[in-house]
Amino acid sequence: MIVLEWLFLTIAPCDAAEPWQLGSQDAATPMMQGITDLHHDIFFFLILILVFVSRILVRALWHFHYPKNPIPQRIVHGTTIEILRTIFPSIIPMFIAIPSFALLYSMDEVVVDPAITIKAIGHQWYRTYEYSDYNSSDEQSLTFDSYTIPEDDLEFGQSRLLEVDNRVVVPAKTHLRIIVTPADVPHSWAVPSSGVKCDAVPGRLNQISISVQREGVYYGQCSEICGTNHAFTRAPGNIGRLLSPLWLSRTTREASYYSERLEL
Amino acid sequence: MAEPQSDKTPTLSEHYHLKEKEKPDVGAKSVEVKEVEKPVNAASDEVVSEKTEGSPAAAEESTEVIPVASEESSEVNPAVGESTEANSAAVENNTETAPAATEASSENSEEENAGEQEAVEETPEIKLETAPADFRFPTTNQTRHCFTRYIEYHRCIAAKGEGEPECDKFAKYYRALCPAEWIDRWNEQRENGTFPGNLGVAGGRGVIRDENGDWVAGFARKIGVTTNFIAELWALRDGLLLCIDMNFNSVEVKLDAKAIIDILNSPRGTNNYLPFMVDDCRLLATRIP
Repeated sequence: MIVLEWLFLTIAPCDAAEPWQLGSQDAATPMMQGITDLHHDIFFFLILILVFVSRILVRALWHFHYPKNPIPQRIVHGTTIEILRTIFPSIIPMFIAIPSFALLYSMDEVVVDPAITIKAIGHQWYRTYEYSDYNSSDEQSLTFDSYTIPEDDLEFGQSRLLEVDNRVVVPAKTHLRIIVTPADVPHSWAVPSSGVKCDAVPGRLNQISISVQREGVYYGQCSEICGTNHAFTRAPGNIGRLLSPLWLSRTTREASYYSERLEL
Repeated sequence: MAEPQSDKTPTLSEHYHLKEKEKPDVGAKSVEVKEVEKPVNAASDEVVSEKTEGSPAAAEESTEVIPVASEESSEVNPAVGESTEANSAAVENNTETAPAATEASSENSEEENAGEQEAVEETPEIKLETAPADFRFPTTNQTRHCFTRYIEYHRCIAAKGEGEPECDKFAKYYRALCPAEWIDRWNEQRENGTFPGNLGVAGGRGVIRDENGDWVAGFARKIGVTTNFIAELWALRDGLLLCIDMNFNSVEVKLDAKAIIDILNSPRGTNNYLPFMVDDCRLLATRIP
């Protein structure tokens, strides 16, 4: 029973977009946490400026309305206010820029050696995933295609245009390297709750490193206009159900078994 | 069948709790996370969890226990013999149950039995490992990383022979990094001899003939592992040097590489990668009247 409960709770689709959602999705990686925090940081300044500017605007409109005050005060020059209104707006971007750059570079940086490499290869209009860390030859590989489930085949509880037939399974709390590339046209691999969006450019391998902090099912969609089915049938389904590292020992041992089953 | 499952599931959840507690301890030395996160095996984790369960004392004790456990695992890992011993000791219960299951003659139990045996034997092999972060390629773009690893492997094979265990790590790296489609394409290109990279030891040679086509001098040089472009440049340079040494007045150079001729003739055509060799060849060419 514990098992069932545990499975049910983790598989609940809590990491997809909700109707009328305004904020970002719950963070699953430190990266996304950083993005959310930066968003809040910037919003502090944003609202501050908004309030200040609208106060000035409204006050000016109110006080210098022509029947009330036909001849406005004739201030041509004021050194103090000019210095202030030059310095302050230049300091505010600095407060925004410092955390922003810190986040930007920490996202790019690959500090730790990754534990697993997963290749996400975009096609029109599905994705192929390769786990080939444990290949012993060029031919043998744990590869599978991940298609979006069409609207008609959805079962109760599945998200429209998000659910795929084969999910990517990766371990949680592990440093992952995801190599993104397409086989035909440009695609983009994105998982909002992981704070990851990586363009897939033909002939080029882009790397992203993530470390997912909690188990769950994560949904994402293609973020690059990649053809007619981009918006409708194509939800590229980089959907990960993240499990414990125990999963890996099982996968490595039964890699051939699973690849046979997946290549139906 | 039911017993092993019920044994396993709590260990899974235990596993999580353990990991969460371990994290802050390990967090300081982040490089070692991989080491610790290796799924040593279920058995050793079980031992750990048993320990934590066995000591239902204050939180202080558990925090004391955990570092010891992690030390143990890290100690166990390098010493293969020890680990297998520990495994056999720890897994005893399971291995005892497994034969009983095989007597019941079901495929699953056989698989499991085999799996457990493998787990006992293979534990040193199964570790979370992939191509490490390479500081030649610190950017998001890893195309070159994959290509370089592929070339490195084939150079290693060329230098040390097929099946050399030293080369296996390069094979592992490029298989981890390159899409299978690319590898297939490159393998095909290698078979056809149209692979764009250079995969072996290169040498350069040439002959100097007089106007009748008779042999005057010859030269050859082993260049080592380079690209074909640089190999051609080396050969050209050697030939020109030899001509200067022998005080020839007019020299006609015949090269079989059009790219070299193009780059030497183009006004500003120094390739970013090999300006020195190109400049050298140009300089030598000017010294021949």
